[in-house]
Amino acid sequence: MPAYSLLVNGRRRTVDAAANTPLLWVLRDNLGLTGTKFGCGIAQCGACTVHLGGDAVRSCVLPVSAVGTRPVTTIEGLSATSTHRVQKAWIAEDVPQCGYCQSGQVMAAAALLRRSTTPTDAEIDAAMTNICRCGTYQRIRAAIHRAAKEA
Amino acid sequence: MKSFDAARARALPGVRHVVQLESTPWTGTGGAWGVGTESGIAVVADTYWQAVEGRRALQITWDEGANATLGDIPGKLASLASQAGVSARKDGDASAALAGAAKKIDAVYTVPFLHHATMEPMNCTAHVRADGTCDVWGPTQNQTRAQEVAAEAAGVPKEKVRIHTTLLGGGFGRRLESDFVAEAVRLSKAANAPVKVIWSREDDTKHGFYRPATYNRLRAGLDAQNKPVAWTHHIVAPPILLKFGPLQNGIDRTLIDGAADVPYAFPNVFVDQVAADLPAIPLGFWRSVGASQNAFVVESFMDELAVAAGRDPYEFRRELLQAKPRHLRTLELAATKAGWGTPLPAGHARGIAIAEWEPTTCAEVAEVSVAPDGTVRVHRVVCAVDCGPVVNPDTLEAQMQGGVAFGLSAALYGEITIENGRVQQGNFTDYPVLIPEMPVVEVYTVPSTDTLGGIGEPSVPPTAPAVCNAIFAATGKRIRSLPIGKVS
Repeated sequence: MPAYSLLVNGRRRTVDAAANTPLLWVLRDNLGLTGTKFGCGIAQCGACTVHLGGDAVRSCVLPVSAVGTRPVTTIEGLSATSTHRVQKAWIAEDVPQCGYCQSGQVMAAAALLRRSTTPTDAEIDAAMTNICRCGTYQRIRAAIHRAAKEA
Repeated sequence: MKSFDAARARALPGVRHVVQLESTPWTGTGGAWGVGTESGIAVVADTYWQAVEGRRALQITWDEGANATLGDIPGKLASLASQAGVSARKDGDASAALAGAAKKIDAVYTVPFLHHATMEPMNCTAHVRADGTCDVWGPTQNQTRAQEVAAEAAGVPKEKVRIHTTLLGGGFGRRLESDFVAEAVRLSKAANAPVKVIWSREDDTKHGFYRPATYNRLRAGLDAQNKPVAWTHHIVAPPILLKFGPLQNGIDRTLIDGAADVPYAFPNVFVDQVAADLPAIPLGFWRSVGASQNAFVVESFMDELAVAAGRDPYEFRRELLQAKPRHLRTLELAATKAGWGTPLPAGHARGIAIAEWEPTTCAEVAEVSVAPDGTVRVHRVVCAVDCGPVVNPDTLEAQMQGGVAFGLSAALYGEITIENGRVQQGNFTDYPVLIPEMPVVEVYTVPSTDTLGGIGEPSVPPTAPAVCNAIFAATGKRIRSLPIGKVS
């Protein structure tokens, strides 16, 4: 099995995994970072969203061999103190219900706000394609607007 | 199972065990809830991805079994519609009143099987130890049954089983079942090690416990003054409760919820149910259960009745709910907050519906438009609820909004079909749920000291009929079969 050297949440990590292993399962099974969730396995739902070089990617279809030198940030590494403005806005709006999709939602929202400082509802709808089966979409929109104001 | 290649899987890195599970009958005391001790093959590996690779290597040829040709369930239900059902409600003499009615309305409504599609696919971790104890870590809505199922699968007394409930990535009724618990326990026993079972999304979609598909024949009559004189509702459906044993009095009460208790002041009512025995299809409790389909059927047909009577759908309902104060005030609050009767942008229209999830009442007004290509867009849903005293207003709002989203996904897209004994859907690509189409949902609470009721389910049932009634108001097209899909 090949060894991969990954920069995850600012730490250099070495993992042994088959080349086609999705980053999601390297994070969860090899590195014990279980905040990133498995939902569909085909990049449809976004529960597995992490940042790769600052962009939101769906880690369930990203082979570990394709990560290269780009830094990986997971929900655990978004903020050392869990006080990223998106996280604070999420708490203020009381967004989560079951919570399962929420780490992916937060990572997608954080990536959106890096690209677009004050996104409109239409921009939010276009960028936030993560599924929430509990239907928290309305509060997700509100939380993104709130986080944008706090920038 | 005809054949599989265990050696090919075992040769792969990380693969520890290939376990063939035989189907075992439930012998416990609690009825047949233990279904799910199905046959299958499991690959146990050090990591999930190694197990997935091992599974791919198995090259399984399935024996399709006795249900290999099972399909066309809607056709089967329709073919049973000529049978007389078991009476669920009989007020007066509906058939005589219908015969004498000045105007008769007659329609067939159908709904499909639905899947829960929780975000977190089914999973469970179990450790059966040599000392006869068993620990289970899993997202279950049903600890009591999970313990019984685990005890039976482990072959130990249930006092030796400890259930550790993990956070649930959505339940909606799917996690009342303990099939995934049985799997983890059986595999831990076979592997003699703690085992975590993770289903793929495809496993999850194809091995659900589905909301029953139903066929509904409705008839109603109006007198010369356009007052309703009779209402009949003939339900054909596979009963959920059959898995617990024979039906009491031949009725599955979950299939008549929201139908037998139709709240309107009709002088003659007849509701009956034909139990379609389709034992091969696992059925379960889906958020709001029978009300999820019956509210669509009853409230859509009620709209047809209002149209036939030449009446405004809101005023028509209001008049017939005078003896139901809780329904009435909930309906009135929704209509008022929605601005019922006030002008809308061109192409937009409103629809109204009410349902009871005992004792909570919930009414919704949906505002929709239909694009030239038939795509339905729901712009706004005004939701009024009377759940008695409100404990946590913030949770109430979130649950009502979530219920509308759940109801909308089902109304617009939700459909599980079965052909050749298999569920045809597998992932969010062919069992879609809504994302950016989420409308604004405004939630209003009736100030109430009435009986305290739940809030997790009541906003699901009125959603489909409110939307479909709005589609009718916008286009003149009556939706009598779900999902809505595109309006042609």
